[in-house]
Amino acid sequence: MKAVKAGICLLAVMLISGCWGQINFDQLTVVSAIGLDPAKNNMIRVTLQLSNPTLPVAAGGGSQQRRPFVNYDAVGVTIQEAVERIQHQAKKSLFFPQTKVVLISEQFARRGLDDTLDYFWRETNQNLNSWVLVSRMPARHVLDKAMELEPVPADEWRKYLEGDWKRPLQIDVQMYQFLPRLNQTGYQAVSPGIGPFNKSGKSDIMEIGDTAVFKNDRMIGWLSGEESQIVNWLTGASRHGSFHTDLAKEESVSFNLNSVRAKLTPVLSGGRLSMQVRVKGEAEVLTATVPLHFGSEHAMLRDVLNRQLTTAIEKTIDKVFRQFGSDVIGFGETLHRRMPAEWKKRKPDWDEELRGLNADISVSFEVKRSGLLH
Amino acid sequence: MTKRHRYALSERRREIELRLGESSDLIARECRIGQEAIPALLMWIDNLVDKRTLQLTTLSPLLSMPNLPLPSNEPSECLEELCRSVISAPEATVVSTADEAIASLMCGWTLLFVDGAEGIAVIQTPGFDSRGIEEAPSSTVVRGPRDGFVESLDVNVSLVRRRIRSESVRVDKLVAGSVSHTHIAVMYIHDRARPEMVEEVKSRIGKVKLDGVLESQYIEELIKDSPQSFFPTVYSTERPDDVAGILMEGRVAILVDGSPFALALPCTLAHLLKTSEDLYLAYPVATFIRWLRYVGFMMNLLLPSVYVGTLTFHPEMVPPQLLSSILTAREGVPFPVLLETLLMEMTFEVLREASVRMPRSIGSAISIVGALVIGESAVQAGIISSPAIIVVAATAIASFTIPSISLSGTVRILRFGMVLLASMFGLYGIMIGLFLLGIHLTSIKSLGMPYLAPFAPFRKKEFLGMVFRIPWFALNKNRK
Amino acid sequence: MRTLHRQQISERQFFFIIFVSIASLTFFSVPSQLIPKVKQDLWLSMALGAATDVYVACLLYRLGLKYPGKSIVEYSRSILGPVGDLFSFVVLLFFCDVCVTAIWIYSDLLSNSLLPDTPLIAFSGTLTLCSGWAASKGIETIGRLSLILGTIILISTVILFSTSIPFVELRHLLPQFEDGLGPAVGGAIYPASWFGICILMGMLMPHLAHPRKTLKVKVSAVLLGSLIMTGYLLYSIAVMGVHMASQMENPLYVFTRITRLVIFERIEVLTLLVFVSGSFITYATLYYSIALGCSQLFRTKSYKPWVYALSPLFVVLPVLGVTEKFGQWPPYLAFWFPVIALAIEGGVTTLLYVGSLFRGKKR
Repeated sequence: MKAVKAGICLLAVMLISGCWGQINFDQLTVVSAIGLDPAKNNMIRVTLQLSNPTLPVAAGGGSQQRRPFVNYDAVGVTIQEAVERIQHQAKKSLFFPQTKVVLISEQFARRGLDDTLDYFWRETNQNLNSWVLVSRMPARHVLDKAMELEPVPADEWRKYLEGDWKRPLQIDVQMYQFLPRLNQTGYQAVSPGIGPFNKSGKSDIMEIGDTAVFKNDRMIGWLSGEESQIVNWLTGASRHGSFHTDLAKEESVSFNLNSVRAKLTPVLSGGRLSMQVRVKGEAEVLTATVPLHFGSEHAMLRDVLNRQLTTAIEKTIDKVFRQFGSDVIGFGETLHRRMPAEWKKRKPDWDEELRGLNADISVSFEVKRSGLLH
Repeated sequence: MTKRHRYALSERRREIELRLGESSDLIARECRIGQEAIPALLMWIDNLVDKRTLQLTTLSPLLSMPNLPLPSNEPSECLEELCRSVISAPEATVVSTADEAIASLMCGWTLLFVDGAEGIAVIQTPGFDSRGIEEAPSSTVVRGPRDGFVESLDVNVSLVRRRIRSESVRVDKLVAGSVSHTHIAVMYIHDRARPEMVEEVKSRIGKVKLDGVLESQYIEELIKDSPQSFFPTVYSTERPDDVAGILMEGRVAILVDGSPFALALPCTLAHLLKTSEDLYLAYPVATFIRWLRYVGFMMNLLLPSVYVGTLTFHPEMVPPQLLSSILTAREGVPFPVLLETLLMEMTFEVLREASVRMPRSIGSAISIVGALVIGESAVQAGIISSPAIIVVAATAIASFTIPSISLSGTVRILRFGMVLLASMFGLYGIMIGLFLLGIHLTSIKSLGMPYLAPFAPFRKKEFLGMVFRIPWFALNKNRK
Repeated sequence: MRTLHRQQISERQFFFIIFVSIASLTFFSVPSQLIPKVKQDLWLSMALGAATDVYVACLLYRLGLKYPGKSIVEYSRSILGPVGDLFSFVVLLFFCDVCVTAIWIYSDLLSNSLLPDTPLIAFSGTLTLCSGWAASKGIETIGRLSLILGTIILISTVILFSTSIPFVELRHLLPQFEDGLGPAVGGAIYPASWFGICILMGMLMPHLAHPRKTLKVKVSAVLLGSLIMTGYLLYSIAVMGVHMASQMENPLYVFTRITRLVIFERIEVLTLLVFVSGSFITYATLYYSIALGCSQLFRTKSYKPWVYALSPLFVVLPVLGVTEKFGQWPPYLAFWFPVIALAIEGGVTTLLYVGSLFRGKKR
């Protein structure tokens, strides 16, 4: 019995004297954004935005004499190497699990992400819930220059992307959704883009709009706001939208669209694959630059809306499938789900399939309300 | 006659005086009784008897018989007759040995010797002063009776008896303590308490081999089931209504002379977290308060360790805003998280201990000093961070929700163990600590009843009774 | 017959012991094998695994009723004589192997994800300490603890499932049986082998207060356990998609990392801890069974010395370099372990049952 007690005491002493694995809490610095840029010789420039912890203003953290955030960057062959270099600069313990945003610069995306993003898969500390953005300017500049209401810009972006209020023109994607789609032929990756508000590139205010389209791990193009909206409908990510129709020269009506449901069906006829698209929903008139008599012109409005929507959807699908050759709508996955055998057959040449794909689109929206309360 | 010499008064008086070491408060009064003027001797201990009773019931009748013949000529019979017919004290018997007589003498009884009689008469005349019945300071209620036990065993038993006026209430008296000869009363209701339990309790008290039993805690530690365990397996209370409730549940209560704290067996964790006040409040309120108590219990045990464990091992679990605030608050603090927490905890424990002995007049000043000076100034000076103070204060407040003092003390100690485990292994360490605690709790029993009943060996009705305070109208249906 | 002071457990406690064992054993090793190979059809594998376990349970139930008050070690001796002793020895050795493997998996996972710098021996040491202490206190203690922990597992599962609903995309579950039934049936060996560890029911049956109800209780516990674990696996596929789920070492863990509980973000720590505590119960029960079995096999008076004797084994073996290399050798977990496990669980029990039939006839 005595030996056992002595043994336990010894063990306790050994355990207490070395507290392995304890994090030095006071040296923690939260990394709020990661920026990825291309560098020479196929290397990557990684920019980390470290935020200085600040008391919320309500708690009296009013007078801040110090910068709310600091950017550090370094170049390396892999992200891991660059991060280690940054560690030397920052001299603090980097805290990754609460990263808010990952910015990928357009140049880097076009060069090809390859396997660099493998880092986010393996490193257990990385936050799989961080939001992915593609930036038009180099990520370093965006992180440096962006001015938002929040002291740390990444916080603001995250709140925006997370918010539930309607942003129909916006696709948003989190890291855990983005990463597998880089390799998935049947459902390619997209990402919202961020860039200066002013097209000349001089402004400090960043705009999150447009969508970057990826094919495998390379970015191939941009989709405008309206096109992203349509993609959102077709993937089922969004049920709302707004649409602008032109009745005649200088006469236009805009609609608010609700309960949008799109159904993609693969149709096999004689060995040829075609896609059937059915879009349904409700519309209400938002603004009209021409006086409308709702009762009599109801049918006309509906037809105009449906026609113009059909054209828009056709154009988008055309652009995505034929111009980009990338299946961001997820049609491949739909085929996979319904006819797995067919999918297996066609998967290797899916690009070619997409180019030759016939789309049969039918849109049926009902105009429910005139927007005026009577 | 030889008898006279053997039982001569002077010798017996000498014997008693020698046994008591010629104590100055041993009074001996000689008198002559009856027509024959037989010498008699009365002995008592001065401060233990009620002089008025003594005079009224013993001296007066005895001395007012100068003209009456003695009841009998035989001295022993005479003594017995005196006890039966003359002495008007509530209790008067004849004992045969000096030991028994001395035992009674020590309890405040008066001894009567008659010249030549073999036996000694013991007459009940005790008159200790006792504290008046007032509210029990350790457990105050908002609604409910406000009488509490006092130090006198008889008064205590009467307080319980007057609440349960049933003939099945049994009071068994035992004596413990080889020097102090403390009286102990074991109370139970005859057809509700299991006879084995009662026998077990009595035999355990019988095995107590102490010199003196001054407080119920002395025997509590000796009769409890798992003496090395930190956890109390004997319930203690200062309230007679509590004890009455306990008796009616079929448990056994132990009252110790000289202590206002009564003990009760068996006792489970659920009993320790209940108060009798639950039954005096309306059932939704009582249920809510009960849940608050359970939450307070867990908080008291776990809050500092969760704070230390989360911050030092898993800061990613903290919501980002909160993390940012804590990081800011900790800037400039020289101590690491563990040390800061331990320091604050120790300070608070010291404050608590000091406040027990503080004279009332400066009590409030000291608590202001403690709160403001230590807390506020330490934060302002940057020695301690405010989250640590919040954690420690919340833990301390939670500790007061536990109704049982012994359990509260146990949790205070275990809290430190949990903090140490948390600093070694983080939340995993807390889990290990809880697991070890769980193993310990599920293996101890109190008088055969598992400690975690009704939760661990699951009994549905009792479990519901523990979680919710079942309203009286529901209980009424089930009673016979 | 030697009279060991028999500790009694109630049906409810038995239910929870089995349920907690199934849930925690499945959590650690099955997902990494099952999801890449079987993908969305894994519910079929789980169902088949549960069915296998029910079959074994039936056999053990009959045997236990035939030899009331005796554990599997004891009656295998009376059925098959010295060969029965050999069988018991094999079964006990198998239990030891399960313990060591499971402790290794568990230490590995905890070390990689939770506490990176802590040496593995700290994990195996603390685990052996807790489980060994619980085992030495007896099956009653283990039963009561399993009640508490089983309830906690159930409640946390419900909370997790309900808060993860916004993250779920049911489409990910869709092409069912795209490669036919083959993978699902083949994949059934993984859950079956881990579920089958519940043949320690054979050791526990003598302790039950009402042996007749054992089968019902066991079957319902197995069903509930496999149902909940299937739910977890399907949830992780639904949230992450098959591709990502197949590549992770422990998909369930990553699944809890992604979902959110009100404002708390990375709650994987809590889920992990809940299941780790469940595995404490499992190991305590296994430990107790091994110690009890050894004491019955070698006819010692009490099982407690065996608890102490086996503890260095369990502390040291899982952390040796040899074991690590062995465990990381892919075919071990993917092939050898399930096959051996099934052979022992199914094979030994069937042989015992058949043997008992012969015995019965002879009489």
